[in-house]
Amino acid sequence: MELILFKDRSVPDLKDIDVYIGRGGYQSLDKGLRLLKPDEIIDIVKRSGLRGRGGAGFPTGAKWDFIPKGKGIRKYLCCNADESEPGSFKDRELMEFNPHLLIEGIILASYAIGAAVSYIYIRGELVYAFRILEKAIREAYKRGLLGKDIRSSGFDLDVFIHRGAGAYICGEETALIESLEGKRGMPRVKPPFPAFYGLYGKPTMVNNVETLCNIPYVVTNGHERFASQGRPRNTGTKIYCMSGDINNPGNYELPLGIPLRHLIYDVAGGIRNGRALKAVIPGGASAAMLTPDQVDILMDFDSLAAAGSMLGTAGVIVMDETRCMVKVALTLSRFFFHESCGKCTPCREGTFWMHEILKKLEAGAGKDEDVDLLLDVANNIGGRTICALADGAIAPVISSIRHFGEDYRLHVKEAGCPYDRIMARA
Amino acid sequence: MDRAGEREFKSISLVIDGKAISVPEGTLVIEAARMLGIEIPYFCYHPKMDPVGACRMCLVETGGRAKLITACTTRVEEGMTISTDSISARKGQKDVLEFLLTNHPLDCPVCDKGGECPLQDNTYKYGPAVSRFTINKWGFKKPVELGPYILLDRERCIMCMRCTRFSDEIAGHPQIGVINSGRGSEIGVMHGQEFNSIFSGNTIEICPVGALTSKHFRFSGRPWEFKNRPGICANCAVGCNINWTIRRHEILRVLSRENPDVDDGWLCDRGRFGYTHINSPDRLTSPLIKRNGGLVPAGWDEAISYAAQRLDEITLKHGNESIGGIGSPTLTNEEAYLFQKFMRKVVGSNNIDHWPKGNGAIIEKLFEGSSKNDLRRFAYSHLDEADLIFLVGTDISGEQPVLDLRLKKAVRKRGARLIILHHGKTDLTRYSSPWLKYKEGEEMLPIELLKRIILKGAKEEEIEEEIKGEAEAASFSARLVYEAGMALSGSRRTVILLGNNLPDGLIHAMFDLASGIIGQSGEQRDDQWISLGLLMGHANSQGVLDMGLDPDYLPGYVRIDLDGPRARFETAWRYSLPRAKGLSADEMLNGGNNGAIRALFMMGSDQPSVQSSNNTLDLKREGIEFLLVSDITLSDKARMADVVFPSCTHAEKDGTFTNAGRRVQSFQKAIRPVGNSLSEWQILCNLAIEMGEPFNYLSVSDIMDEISTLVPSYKGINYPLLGDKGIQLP
Ligand SMILES: Cc1cc2nc3c(=O)[nH]c(=O)nc-3n(C[C@H](O)[C@H](O)[C@H](O)COP(=O)(O)O)c2cc1C
Ligand code: SF4
Ligand code: SF4
Ligand code: SF4
Ligand code: FES
Repeated sequence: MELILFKDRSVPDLKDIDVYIGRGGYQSLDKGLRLLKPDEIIDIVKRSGLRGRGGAGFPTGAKWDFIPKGKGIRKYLCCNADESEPGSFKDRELMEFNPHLLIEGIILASYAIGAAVSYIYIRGELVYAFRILEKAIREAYKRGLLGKDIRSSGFDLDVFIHRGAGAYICGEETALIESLEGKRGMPRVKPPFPAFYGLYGKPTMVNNVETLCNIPYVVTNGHERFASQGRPRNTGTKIYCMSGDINNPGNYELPLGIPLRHLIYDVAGGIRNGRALKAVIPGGASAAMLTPDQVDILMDFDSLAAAGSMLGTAGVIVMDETRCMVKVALTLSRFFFHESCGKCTPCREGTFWMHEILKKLEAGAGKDEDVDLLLDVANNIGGRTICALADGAIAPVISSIRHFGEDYRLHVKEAGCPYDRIMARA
Repeated sequence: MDRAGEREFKSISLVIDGKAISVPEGTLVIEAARMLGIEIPYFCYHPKMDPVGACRMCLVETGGRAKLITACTTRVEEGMTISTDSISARKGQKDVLEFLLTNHPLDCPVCDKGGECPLQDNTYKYGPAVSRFTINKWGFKKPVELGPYILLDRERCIMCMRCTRFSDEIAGHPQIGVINSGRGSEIGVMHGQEFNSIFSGNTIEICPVGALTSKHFRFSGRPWEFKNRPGICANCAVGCNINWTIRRHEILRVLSRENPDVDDGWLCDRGRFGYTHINSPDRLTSPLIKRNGGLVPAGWDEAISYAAQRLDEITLKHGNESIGGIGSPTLTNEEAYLFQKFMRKVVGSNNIDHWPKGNGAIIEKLFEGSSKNDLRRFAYSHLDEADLIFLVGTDISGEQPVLDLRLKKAVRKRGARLIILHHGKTDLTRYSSPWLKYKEGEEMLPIELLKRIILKGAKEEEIEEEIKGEAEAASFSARLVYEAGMALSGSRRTVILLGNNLPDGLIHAMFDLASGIIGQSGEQRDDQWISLGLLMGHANSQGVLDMGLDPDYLPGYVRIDLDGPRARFETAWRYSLPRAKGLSADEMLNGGNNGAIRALFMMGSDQPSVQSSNNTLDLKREGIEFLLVSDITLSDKARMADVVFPSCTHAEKDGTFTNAGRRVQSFQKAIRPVGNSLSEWQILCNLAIEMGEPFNYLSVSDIMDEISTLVPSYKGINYPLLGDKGIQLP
């Protein structure tokens, strides 16, 4: 296999512009900005089959094509670097060790959609990555890679970096736009989609860090080479963020569509302490849990969707047999309750209610009806809100009840958490 | 050609609950349903605000799909089928209500909104009968003071954001917002701000629950004890339509009563909260007569006959011209008409005027002298179509508040251009491009420059030269005036609004300028016009002028010194009118030239709008032997009087006002008169009988019938025709 994003991962000081250029960095601009027209870039990206790495997996080229053409209109590119999904830590590593790859991707994407201004919206807590990016942007300006007439191509681009203030919801693209405008980060009703009515009411493209980092490769090497990895409709490589009860947690770049079993047992070194696998969250906190009998599933957008879960950000959280699934649901529900922006009723009230019921169940004060109520509340939230946060919030709850109903029953029967007792004994 | 406003809207056909309808493209599903008479429950939706889709109450089913949509954010599509009452839609609505009630305190028994609360109503109609939420509700310290008039009970709030959206989108005062997040979200005053918007009270009315309450009104009763009776706000010249909330002849609250051509459903705080004088303990309840240096209560018969006797005596001793009358611009049309008729016919004096007074008569004469297809006379609705609005020397936000909202709507929602010529910053100058700021008192210069640019084709450089000479006066640049000039001559639909106290010369110059622009483009067409208005200051400033409460003009601006036109009145009134030129209010207030005024009748109250105007009444009593005053309280002028008649407020009487947009609007008595107060027209009738020249009017409607035969612009107006929306004068 060929690495696209982590190719030079072992090169020291890659974040230094000279080192980056020495490794062939920014070469895609010569082809991209001078030989290709914007539409040709969009076409290459379309054919490459690249799908958004921010969670939804929407085809990137098709999304770029929605942006109205024409010179007269002001357009924006926003790089979504808000990475806050529990279980996801890939964008952070990309920005920290290879910031220029991202800048290079931003330049090509901005050129393709006709944006003269681009914003990087970075999660506020990522201070280290922010400093590195800031320095990288400064260096790129100095080298004429940003600013006016980039590489004598006649293309101008300014890149600004904006730090978020700690809200998960600001990763949702329309909340991100509101936040950039200086407003409270709350998602907008769609339609209109940002491609038509985005930042300051102008056509806006929001793309994930990893998505953009793929663009230089696609432009340089062509769509066929990109699509040669992965599976049909799920092309290219993906950074899998491996965490949980495994021996070797970390980020791994591998083709899309590799079996989950391979990821856990070969790549991440298997389950810690020789324990048995109990559950896997394959795509960050918003993705429904999988069970050990699903471990041969292929890690790509379509296979996981067919299994009722999702690839999301490919934040793979592995849990072993000692984990209490009620507690897992409780922990995740606390996150979503805390992060709900509060704009729509079912999410604002429902995430709180789910969390309260789970607290009661985990504490051993729940009854069987509470489990039914929990499931009902979750179902009443689903599909009835403005943004996908709420759907993400119910995924762990519903999947834990569906797959691990026994855990819930034990909590009711034993009036407490059976795992606490087991752990206490051990 | 794609011309905004003339574009044909495509029509979209859809089916809602089995009923077919065609509606214009862009209509929201919730609005289409409403046209069919189908109710979709909602909270955050508001027809005048952009959709937010926050509450999720309006869930409906479309095309049988499992995922429900929000009817308030979805625009109609061809062939759409919507079901608002399918099992799945009803379940969605019920579930949302269950969520909404999870932290709602359900303290309806002590909530102001109880009985008129959309949350109660929707829960009753669509909600679950029992709640499965058995966890403790969150409590908050209650209430929080949001602004000078408004309290917030946070736990009742359902986060529909109507209040914050109103303040931002409609009032342009983003002073309140959502603070904290998630379930901890609450409405609060934004950092470093105060919720002192002059429109703050509207949020109480649009809050769909009892979260926002009025400090004045809070806990003062239950809705089923109240009656809401229609009225007109008298606190400025806009003439917003209101409902009086009353209980047993007491005004408890003022609510809006939407009139699209006047107020668009909004009120300002001055109007909404400016009602406390009506049931104030300070109201006069019986006539007063000065005896031994003090005012003592008397009966009506005694007071009327005493006043009549004094007026007669003074007439005999010093002649008719020694008597003067000054009315307030809060008198109704009927009272103003009758007052001048009383003075001219019963007393026989042309010393009749009103105070405070603006410069409105000039514009009336200018329009009278111009031909039909020149300028349009201003009506509020012109603002909804204008491409360009030019404000000259007027602070609408301060003087005609609710009109400011219509201007903001034109500028912010429709993109109309605003140009302001004013010496000071106002709430609207931030929307102005450009704002031509002149030095106070030097407003003629920019007008002259505009005339040169528009009518004489002067170039920017010439203007530059011109200004150089007058550098002192000009605090604007040649470029800005030039830009404004080009915009004015290029605009297709223009509204020009003048302030109330501008010098005569400027009003003439603006009229010439506007006529000149029309002259250049040939005659006015339907798609190209200029509308010109002069905005009056008080509730009926326009009306009292129209009614001839003026020394120089009879009703309808008929000059008193021209025999021909005057004859019509002499015939109708069966009396030969006095010819001597009358004195103005200012002259009378100073006792008249050489102390000619010996008796002065000051009619009408100093209601809040008059009190708040910059003018202060400067009445000198020397030389005035008899001062007769009608007022609602013992005001400064009443204190000086020899006889005081207690009059009633416009909540206690029938009548009409003519607003700043020249719309005549009627109102009826909402509560019975306080104490023994009478309305001014009744006082005048009583006094006329006593003075031997009885009027035979049984009601204000009789007076209006007479007005409509004598004043051409009021021709054909009568009470039944006025209805509840009023009539726009031609
Ligand atoms: C609650 C929520 C949080 C999100 N957070 C992120 C994020 O941190 N980073 C990100 O790239 N996308 C995030 N997304 C997805 C974005 O809305 C958007 O789909 C994405 O940035 C598009 O980029 P892509 O097409 O390159 O994937 C989030 C979505 C939701 C609903
Ligand atoms: S679903 Fe939740 S996070 Fe998303 S807009 Fe609604 S309240 Fe906010
Ligand atoms: S205070 Fe009232 S209007 Fe404002 S958000 Fe709450 S419920 Fe809505
Ligand atoms: S704008 Fe004038 S008429 Fe309207 S509510 Fe305010 S004071 Fe009353
Ligand atoms: S009324 Fe439609 S979401 Fe609130």
